Amino acid sequence: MKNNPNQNVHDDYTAGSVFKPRAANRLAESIHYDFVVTQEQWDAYLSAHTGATGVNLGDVIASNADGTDNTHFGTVLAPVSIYIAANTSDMPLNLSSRLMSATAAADGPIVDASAYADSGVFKMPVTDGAINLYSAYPYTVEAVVGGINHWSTPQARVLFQDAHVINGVARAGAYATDSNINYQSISDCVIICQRLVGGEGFSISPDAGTLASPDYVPPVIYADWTSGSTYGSLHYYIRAVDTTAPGLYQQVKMSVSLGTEPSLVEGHSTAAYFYSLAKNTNTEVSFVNMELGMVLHVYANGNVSRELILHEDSVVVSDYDVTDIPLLFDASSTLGYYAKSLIKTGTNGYDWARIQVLRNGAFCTITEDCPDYTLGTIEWYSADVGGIDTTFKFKNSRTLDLYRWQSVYSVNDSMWPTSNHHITNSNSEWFDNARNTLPIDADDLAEGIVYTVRIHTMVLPFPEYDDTSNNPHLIESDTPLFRQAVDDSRYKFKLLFVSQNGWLEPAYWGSTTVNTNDASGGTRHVKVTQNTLTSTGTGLPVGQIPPRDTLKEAMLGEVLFVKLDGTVYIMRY
Amino acid sequence: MKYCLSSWTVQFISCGIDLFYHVVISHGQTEHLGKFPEGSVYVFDAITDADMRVCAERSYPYVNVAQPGNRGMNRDAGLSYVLSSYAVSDDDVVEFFDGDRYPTTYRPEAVQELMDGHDIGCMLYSCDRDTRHGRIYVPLRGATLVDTGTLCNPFYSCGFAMKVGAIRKVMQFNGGSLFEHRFTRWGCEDQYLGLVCERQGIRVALTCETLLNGDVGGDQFTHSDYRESLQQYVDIIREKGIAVRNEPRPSVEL
Repeated sequence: MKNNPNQNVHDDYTAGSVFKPRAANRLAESIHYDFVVTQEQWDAYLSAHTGATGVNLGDVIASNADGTDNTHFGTVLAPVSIYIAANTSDMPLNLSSRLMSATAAADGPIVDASAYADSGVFKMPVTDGAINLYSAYPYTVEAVVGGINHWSTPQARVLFQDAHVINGVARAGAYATDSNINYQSISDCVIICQRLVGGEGFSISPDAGTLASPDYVPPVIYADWTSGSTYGSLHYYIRAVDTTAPGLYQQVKMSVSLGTEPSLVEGHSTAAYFYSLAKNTNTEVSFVNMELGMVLHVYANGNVSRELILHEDSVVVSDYDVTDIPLLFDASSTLGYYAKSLIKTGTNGYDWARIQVLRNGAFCTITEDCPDYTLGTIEWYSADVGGIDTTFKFKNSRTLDLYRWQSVYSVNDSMWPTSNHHITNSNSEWFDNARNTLPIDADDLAEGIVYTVRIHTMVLPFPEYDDTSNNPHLIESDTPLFRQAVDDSRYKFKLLFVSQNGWLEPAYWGSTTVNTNDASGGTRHVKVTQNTLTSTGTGLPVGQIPPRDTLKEAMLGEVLFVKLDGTVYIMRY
Repeated sequence: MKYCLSSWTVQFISCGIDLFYHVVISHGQTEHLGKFPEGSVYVFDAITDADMRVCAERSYPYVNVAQPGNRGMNRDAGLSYVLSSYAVSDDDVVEFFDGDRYPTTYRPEAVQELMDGHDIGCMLYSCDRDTRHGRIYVPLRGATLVDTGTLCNPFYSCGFAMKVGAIRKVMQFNGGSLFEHRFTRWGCEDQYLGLVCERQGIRVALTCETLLNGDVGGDQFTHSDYRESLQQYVDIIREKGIAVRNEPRPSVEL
């Protein structure tokens, strides 16, 4: 992410300070603004223009102290910076004509951007802005106007109508969803982009090399595309939970790329609202557990754009479905509501899962790590690992962290609660990762090495729903994880050891008989003891998940084992 | 100072009852200093003013070691004090206690009788609570012979009694120490001792005749560096060429 380019980057800012309102306002103060729209100015203008359904920002800037129009106002050459300190709420702002024009004219636009245009048409790429627009509050924009950089706001809902390809795409930002964000423990920043009309697509590419706060990583990035003529508007949504602490936040630069092919998920009953991430060379998705310092930032081509906290001797396996990360959008409301969750589209529930294996900082193909499975169509990141014959090889690693994902699922009111809603711990309302077995290639294990396998059970972000006043509905939920015994058949996890001669019987505490695991069909497996994490710092509170919470680790199990003289000894489970 | 069961003094002479010595490793456990048998030698690896004051007031012998945290080395420091200070014989017994595992039941005469009667070189004391997986049944009176020849065997060193003769056999294998001093973190130094006992033909039993405060089992989950201890354990086993069984002999009630 880039800081405000109009100011020197302050090296003394830390990750924790930048997003605090006071620090953010200090940043804002360090920017030279050509124009500032104060609350008093805004209020006066509206008082003098009662019944207005749209406001040209240039008219506001040029207005008299009593809010009446001032047609004579000087012109400033672009680029300029404008700060909207007022809360303009849902009043659509017009950012063309009086504010900025591609042609210079007397008593004309506030901003003369003629140098950026050719024969009255803006010629520069969208990333070079004639106006840098900042706002402390959400604002609504009437139309896409080329040459305007919409820099960050703590809560911005930029609604474009009648988007035009030629004018390009405005910037949007990544925002913390909590003004008291703790980067060490909370992952609650969301970037949302939606393109609802044809034309140029876009990708989200946080530029890791320009992180002003290197410790900050946008924890979860959702992106959603749709196509078709159903929607006549282009929406960008950047939501924040806390609206009481306006300030200037960091921005993620997003570029525009051609060739995006959004697709609709087939077979879903509410296909209009569920979309899949299109496979695109610039597609990227992240799943993060900030508390563990583990970021899985996935590109379509298998590359990783972020520096990951991955030790050389460790492997991360994330067992989740990348393509089903919809950003639910209720198009029936122009204000737009959204939910964030990992949902298995289709009607069969989350009955399969996809695995990603991260080893030595790079994603592996499934065949590399799990050689014995067969499958049909293979996507680089999405492969149904298959059945029991699949085995995992440690190779030169000693530690495996396997993440299993659980999410709320219900295509009913629990996804779109119209009032306070209690999602029960009913099994039907939760998606589980059905895979509860990890076969390990015992022949691949090195003699005398103590291996560690950690099973993390994660609960994904919760759907949320706001009314028109941005008041969230309270969503309470009991995750079944806390209402079921951890050795409940639904949630237990088993390790099995496979050798070329078949299943290997592990020895527990030096004995093949003194153990607490179950033998299943003659195959002895390790039943992993999973400890429910209940501390508020690292996991979910028992019995209730706060709304708008993001990735949380609900359970953790750890197994230590070693192979000696061909026997696998389980030393802790 | 030697500990003698004063009420059994006459019997000591007539029946040849062994002498019991006691080594207690204490780290920040000042409040428990008086709860161990009289004559215990305390080993401190992070001695405090309060520790020294209590030992001075009560004339407790103590050893102050410089390097904190190496439990095996600390026990050996106390053992060295005993072996060099007293004229111990092979039939005498040295008890080892962790500083928070004071005996809540203490019957050394019964322990000695069992050790002598069944040729037990090492007697492990049970704890008030036992939350280990795979418990071994131990009767309230008597003892159970256990197999310490498996990888994760039931030897634990928070409280046990060992014949000096058996100690010397182990020291012979270890090159002069009872414990392997390369175990510098929590865990595994005791299980390794169990493997060495098995290798040296020392019979190990578990008893409730003396019970210790606290719980045996579960501590491994509170130590995040347990994996390092396990790796050290495996490395030393392979280095020494110690055979490990994957199936223990059945326990035998004595």
